[in-house]
Amino acid sequence: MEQEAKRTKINFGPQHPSTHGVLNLLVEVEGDTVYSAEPHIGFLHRGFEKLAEERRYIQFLPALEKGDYVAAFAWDDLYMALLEKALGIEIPRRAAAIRTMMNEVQRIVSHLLWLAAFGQDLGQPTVFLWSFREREPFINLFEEVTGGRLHYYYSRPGGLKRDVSRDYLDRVIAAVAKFEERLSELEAMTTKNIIFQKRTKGVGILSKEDAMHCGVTGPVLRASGVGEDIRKSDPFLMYPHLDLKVITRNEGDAFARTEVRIEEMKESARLVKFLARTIPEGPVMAGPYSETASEKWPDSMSMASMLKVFGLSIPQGEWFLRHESPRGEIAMHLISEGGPKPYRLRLKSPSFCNLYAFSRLAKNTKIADMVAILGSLDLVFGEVDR
Amino acid sequence: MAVFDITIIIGAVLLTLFGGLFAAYIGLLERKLIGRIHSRYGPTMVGPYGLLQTVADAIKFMQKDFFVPKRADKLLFIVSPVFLTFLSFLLLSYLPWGNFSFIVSQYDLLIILGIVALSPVIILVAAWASNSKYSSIGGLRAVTQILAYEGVLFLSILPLVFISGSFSLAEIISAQKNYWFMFSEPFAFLLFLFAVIAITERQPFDLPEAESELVQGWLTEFGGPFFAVILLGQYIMLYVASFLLAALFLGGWGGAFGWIGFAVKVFAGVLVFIISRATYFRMRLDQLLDFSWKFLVPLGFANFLLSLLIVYTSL
Repeated sequence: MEQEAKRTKINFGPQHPSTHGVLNLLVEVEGDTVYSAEPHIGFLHRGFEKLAEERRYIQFLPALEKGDYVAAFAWDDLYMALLEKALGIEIPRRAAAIRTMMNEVQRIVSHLLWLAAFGQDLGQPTVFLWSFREREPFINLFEEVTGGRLHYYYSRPGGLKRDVSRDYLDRVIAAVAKFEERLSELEAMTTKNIIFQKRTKGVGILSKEDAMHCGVTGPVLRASGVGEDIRKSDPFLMYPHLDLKVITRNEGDAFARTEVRIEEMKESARLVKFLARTIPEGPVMAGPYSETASEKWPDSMSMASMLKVFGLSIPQGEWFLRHESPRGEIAMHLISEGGPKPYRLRLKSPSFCNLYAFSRLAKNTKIADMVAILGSLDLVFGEVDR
Repeated sequence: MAVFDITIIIGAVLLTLFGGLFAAYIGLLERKLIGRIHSRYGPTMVGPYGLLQTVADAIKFMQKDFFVPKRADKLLFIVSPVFLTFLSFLLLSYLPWGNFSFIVSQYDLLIILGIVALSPVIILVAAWASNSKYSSIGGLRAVTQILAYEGVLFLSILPLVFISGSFSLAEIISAQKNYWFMFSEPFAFLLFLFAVIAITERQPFDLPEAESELVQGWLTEFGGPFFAVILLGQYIMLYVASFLLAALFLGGWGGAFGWIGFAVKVFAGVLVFIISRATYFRMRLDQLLDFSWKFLVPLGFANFLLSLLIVYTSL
């Protein structure tokens, strides 16, 4: 009783520098020891699932990308693939390959942003700025072809908004090759640095059983020794044809999560180079909406074709599709009763599930460890709250 | 006993100016250098090459409101940052400037250590006066950390005192005529380096101000002018630390280059502190304390006994 009276409750966030966005943690501390940490979410809740019911299918796309603003391509492509599945459109191989490539570049970009934030959490702004420096060329490449740096709206039902040139693909390969070189610098600062190892090894150990019990996915799950990757177990786009290595670690601590993400960046870099070299020639749009392809401009912008896309309606039925975003398993469940708006669109976000493991991990740690654990889970609050 | 004549007053004004300018321009250098390490430019916009950036910052700090939190202890909240910086200036006044010293004493090193030992008390007062949870955790961290590393600091200086037979900085410097203590006492040098980084609360031992954990630690509630005053004090501490590093281990102003060489050595010391700030991750409190009590303190004792042995056998 007396012991408990010494404990203090602190509100960590939502304006705290280490909560990456808008998380409020109610932390019970005594001195430097954390006894419990209770996450309070919902500060960024925008009601995406309800928004989807109120909008036409194509109008929901911009809202969706504001969910996981760090890896918008993954959600974007999942949504388009779901619409295409519902409409029965087979997209051209070139479009599928470009989407896959963009997804893998997005994975690198997202993991770099995570590394940046994690470095900042552990008290080293150099890692933060170096990661941002490496991220920049990829963001510029995204901007060049899609027009957006974080929000892309690149996919269309049946293909892509715009084709990419051979020259562009060569520059993607060059950028990735340069990134692979520079990654070793980041590794020297992080996984090979003794203080970093001391701060992360044995911190926030999530056992295999706990990981499966909490329902965590993505790199957090793979760092706990479960070799589950949707790109391997339930693939779409070009993933079934790719020779993909699933990276796992058995330790389940913050260091293992770091290693998994760094190895995944290397694996993604390899895949991007392979895809950029082997993208087949051909059209990038197919199906009933191919008049909106950019090569048919200005007819593509005609009132008739715009109306056709905006009037996109899906027959009665139920569809489900999942995909591996950089943070883990994302899934969509669409129920349609016919017409231009969905009856229900359920979004499953990995950040939300990974946050579930947090209070379990943060018990009886130090304040510094709690921040490291929170950072190692790679949470994006646009996605947690939706 | 100090006599208040005109030279003392002029000297005091010059010293204050030096303290301010050093803080301003080493602060700017730190930002520039760390900017380059981060592959960005650092300040470039204010004045040529951004040279007036710190002046602009100082003006901005001074324009801000004297904000005292409602629940804070007003008197202590206002007094503690001023007193903390006063301590830094007091340290500065004990450092010799060639033949001139404000307060001449045979025991200046001892007095400097004594003043350094006062700072955790004032930090604790400042944290207590802020009456904020982050401040109190940061304050307690600062105190445990400084107490843990003061022992290391004393242990690193003791062998030098025994070898040179004096607590006076000038004597210790003249004892390094043949070789620098950095080479004859490498362990003491390392201990001193760790201790000084920990006591000045710089990275990787900046736990009391850990931004990602405690917002600003014990500094959280201090804004505007208070923060500027504390920052000034911290940069003067950096100068004192580099001065001591150069004087105790790098031969001071002895040798062929005299005072210019000494200035270069002090600057090199500053660079060591700046670069370590941009390179290492922050340690955890228990790791930091373990490192001190379980590794550095025993090492310090062993080193002290060993150097005693060497000194007495060579006599």
